[in-house]
Amino acid sequence: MKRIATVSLMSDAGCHIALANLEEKLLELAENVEITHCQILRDEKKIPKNIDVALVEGAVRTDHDLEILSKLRDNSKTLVAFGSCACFGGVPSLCNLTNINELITYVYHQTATTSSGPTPSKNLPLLVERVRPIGELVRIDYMIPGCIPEEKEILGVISAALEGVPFELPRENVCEECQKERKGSLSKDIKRNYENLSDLSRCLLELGYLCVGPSTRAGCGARCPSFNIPCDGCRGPIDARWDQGVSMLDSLAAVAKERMRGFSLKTHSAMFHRYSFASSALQRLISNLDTRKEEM
Amino acid sequence: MSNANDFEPSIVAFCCWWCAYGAADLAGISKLDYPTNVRIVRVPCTGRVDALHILRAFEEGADGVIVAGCLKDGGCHYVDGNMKAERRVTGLKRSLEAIGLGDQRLEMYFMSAGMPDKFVQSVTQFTEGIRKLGPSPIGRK
Amino acid sequence: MTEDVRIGVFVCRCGMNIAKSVDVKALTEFASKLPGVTYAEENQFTCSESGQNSIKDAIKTRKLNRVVVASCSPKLHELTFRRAVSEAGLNPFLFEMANIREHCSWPHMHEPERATEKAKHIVAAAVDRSKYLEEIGEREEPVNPTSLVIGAGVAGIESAIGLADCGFQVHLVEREPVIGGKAVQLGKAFPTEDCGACVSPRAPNLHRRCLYEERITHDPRITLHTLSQIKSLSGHIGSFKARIEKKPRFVREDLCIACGKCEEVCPVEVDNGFDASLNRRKAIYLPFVQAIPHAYVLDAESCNRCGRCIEACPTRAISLNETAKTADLDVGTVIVAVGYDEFDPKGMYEYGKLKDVITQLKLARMMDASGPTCGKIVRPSNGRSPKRISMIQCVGSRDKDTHLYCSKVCCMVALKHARSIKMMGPESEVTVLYKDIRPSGREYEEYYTDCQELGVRFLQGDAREVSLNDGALHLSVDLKSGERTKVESDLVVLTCGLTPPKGLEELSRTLNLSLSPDGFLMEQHPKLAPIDTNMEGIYICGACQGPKDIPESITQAMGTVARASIPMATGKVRIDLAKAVVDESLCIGCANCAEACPYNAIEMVRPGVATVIEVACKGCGVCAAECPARAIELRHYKDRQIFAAVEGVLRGA
Repeated sequence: MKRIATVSLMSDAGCHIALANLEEKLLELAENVEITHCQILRDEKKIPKNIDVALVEGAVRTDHDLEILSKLRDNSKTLVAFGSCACFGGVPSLCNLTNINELITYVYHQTATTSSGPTPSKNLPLLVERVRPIGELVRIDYMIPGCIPEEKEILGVISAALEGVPFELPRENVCEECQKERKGSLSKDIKRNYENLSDLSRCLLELGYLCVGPSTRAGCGARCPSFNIPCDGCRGPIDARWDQGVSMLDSLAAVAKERMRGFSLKTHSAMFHRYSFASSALQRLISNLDTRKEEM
Repeated sequence: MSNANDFEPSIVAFCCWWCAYGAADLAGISKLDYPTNVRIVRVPCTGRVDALHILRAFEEGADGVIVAGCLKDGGCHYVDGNMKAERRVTGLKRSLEAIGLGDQRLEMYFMSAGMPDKFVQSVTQFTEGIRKLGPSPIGRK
Repeated sequence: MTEDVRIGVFVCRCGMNIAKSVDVKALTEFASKLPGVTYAEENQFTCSESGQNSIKDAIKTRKLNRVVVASCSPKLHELTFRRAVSEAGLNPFLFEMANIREHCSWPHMHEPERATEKAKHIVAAAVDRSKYLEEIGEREEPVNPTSLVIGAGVAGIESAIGLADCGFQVHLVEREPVIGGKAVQLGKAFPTEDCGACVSPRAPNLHRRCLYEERITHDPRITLHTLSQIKSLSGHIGSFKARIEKKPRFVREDLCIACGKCEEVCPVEVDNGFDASLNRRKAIYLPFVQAIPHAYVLDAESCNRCGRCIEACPTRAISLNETAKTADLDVGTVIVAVGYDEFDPKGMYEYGKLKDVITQLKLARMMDASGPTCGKIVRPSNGRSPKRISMIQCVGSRDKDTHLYCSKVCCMVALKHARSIKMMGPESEVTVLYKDIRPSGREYEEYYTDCQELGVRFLQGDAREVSLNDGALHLSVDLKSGERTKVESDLVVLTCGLTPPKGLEELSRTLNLSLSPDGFLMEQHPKLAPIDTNMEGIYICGACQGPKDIPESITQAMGTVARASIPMATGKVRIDLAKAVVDESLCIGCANCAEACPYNAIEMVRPGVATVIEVACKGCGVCAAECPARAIELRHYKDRQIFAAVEGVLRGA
């Protein structure tokens, strides 16, 4: 029987819940494979050997994450980046706009609801320099994007990985699946999500909401826009090597000069690179900046 | 670490085909002197230059990036591509400042094909400025 | 790259132009080792026939599928090499040029080592970029055999007549109410001393024909639009669309018999610009005696709308209610011949303050037998004949405070006038104060010798200032010898330079043409394309391209006929398809690109998808940069291709 293992690195375990949500299909899968390591399904602490397909949820934040990842890669034939954190860094990779010291100081000493005390450190792994998608550190064989990934892609990739055949992810953007009406002219204003709710049969971007559907990979059926929520890019860029935000930022800055006046990379990156900052063009510059500083 | 005095900046200059590239040609024809550090990348119009192209230049090790286009107020051969480029460069400079690279390593200049002096003056001044700033903290990939 | 690339690199020595500062051998060696390069060679002159054959041979024998030529600027030979490559069976867009001459060996000729290093980077960039180049096709477009000639001075008229002779239709557009430009104001023109209004003998039996009346007004192929200016130009060679705006004449050209009754009864008098303010004219006037079109024109600014002229007109040709009209012209080619203006010396040498300080144009008007003073030279201050006349050369030329360039014709203008004055009245004293005398055309040197023999005094030096002293003008001069001297004159004539005509900057923007550093229209290349411009299908001639005399203007005008005839006679022009292209699966239909396109070349043909109109696309790529979904790309300047150039130029060795 083929052997599957899953791990959770820096994550909210959402992808594992998605796995659990496969419900009967998970049971079918469990009949045909041996699930050797999976936090939500069995009590196994050690990383097993001879794994056929390993699923990694979460990005690398600590040296412990790194250790698990390396061991898993060594012990597995096939490695799958499971979910947007593993694929692109995920929401937590927005931390990379700041540095570890600032981060720890803020989290443990400066938030409104924290009463200051010593920074926790006993028996805790160290934070690595920056949050990294796992593909930067080890070779990955498949990826399942999304926060959380789609059921059919989870099943599809696992079965393709078990058979050793390729799995093609959609190459279009979310707009291809979106049913909203497009009239062909962008609003000159940028609106917050709660402002001016009207004519919601129309394309949200055209109405002025920051919908990043144009630079997000399709596959979800444009679910959020169908509920009138602007896409926030959870499935990452269309091509894993592309940047999800710079183009949109650029062209929207043209259309809405006024509202972008208070532009700050820290606030607006959240809008355009919410799930993929760690794999963006700006990140590549920042990380090179940091390494160079170390050398100097 | 190389000696600061030996530092030779790598400068990428995105030059629009009609004006800046022509001005650079004319500078060569007139045998005007300018630093060899300047390497030209031809584009049809500065309006074609994307933020990603500029970011890629820094990623690949450019110490400074120039975007050179036609004169403002109607000089652009594609009407106003240069104005779009200017807006883009201004926005990108802020991003570069925010990430710690500073906003002095990216600059846009305007000239006509008949202004070799302007080309020479702009690239020379910029290169010397970068020389003083030192190597880009990004270095090479 | 989708296939295995086999790149051939051809490094040019360009005689010594490149070889002198770039180590071509080392460069070729370097190129041969670059990944993807199958073959590298150096040539003496790659653009020569043997150089091109070498490329073609290599393509065939070494099965090259990419060619890089490291030589001069693509502005010179990109087309040459594309053609050569295409003749060898390779798509012309699989060819890339590395500019190692204008951008390397020439500006850095004092630093050969660094020039060679830089050349390596330039070649590496070209090689890298070539890997990502794609085949691009061509299309043929028809050419409308109609020409638009802007400017009906000497050059424009010559061009219009030439094109009509070739059988093409011509729209001749002139912003003044009459044709003839500056030539008609000049009196006699050197060296043939013919009347400026009759400059070109064009009939087969060489009879002079004043003002081209028969050709311009009666030739069915030529449509004259006076009081008209071009407001916009769109399209491309073969199919331009020009919008012209015609100001009202207020007088029907077809009804006016030029009897002059309207002029008699008109109560308004203003300075006559044509005669350099030597006399006055009415608000309704005939610009000059032999004006073509031969009809009166009403100057709306000075008119007081009294209506007396309307009553006086026997043919009822006048109407004050005429408004400006616009017309759209469809043409295949455009000729620009908008001439020059005389430099305005206001503030210099008391011009404008002292009446007896005038310009050569004013003197020419006086000397014109049909002019305001019937050929007599007078002092504007008292109407009397001046005995002592001085001329100051290079006013507004060769001067760092005004214009650096030499205006070429001013020496001859002064000599022409000096000679005439002496011949008319040998007792008059004529002094010419000059920096250099440059009579450079045929028979021009003879004028100089004649003047000297006739007793014209030539002083080399700088004119310091002009002052009025006891009724006479004192001109203080710093002679070249170092002495200071004073010349007393009754009349001081400033020989002013030629400047770009008023409105040229705006016109250059309308037509998308470049201006030279001196402010005149820029030709494509002084030797290889002296009449073409950066806009295919638009040609320039005459003084608007730079100061020149009438023979040269006519020659250039004839040149435009030749150049414009090529596309119009062949009837078709090839357009390459290096245009924008939309990936429909990514397009979100936001129409950002359509809005950004300056040529309206993108349409949302169906909702949600942008489509590029290839014929209208000019290949600027602004759409590609503006697209939020990165769905539209510009062929030949796709992201991957630009990235490759950036990477190559930085990575280098």
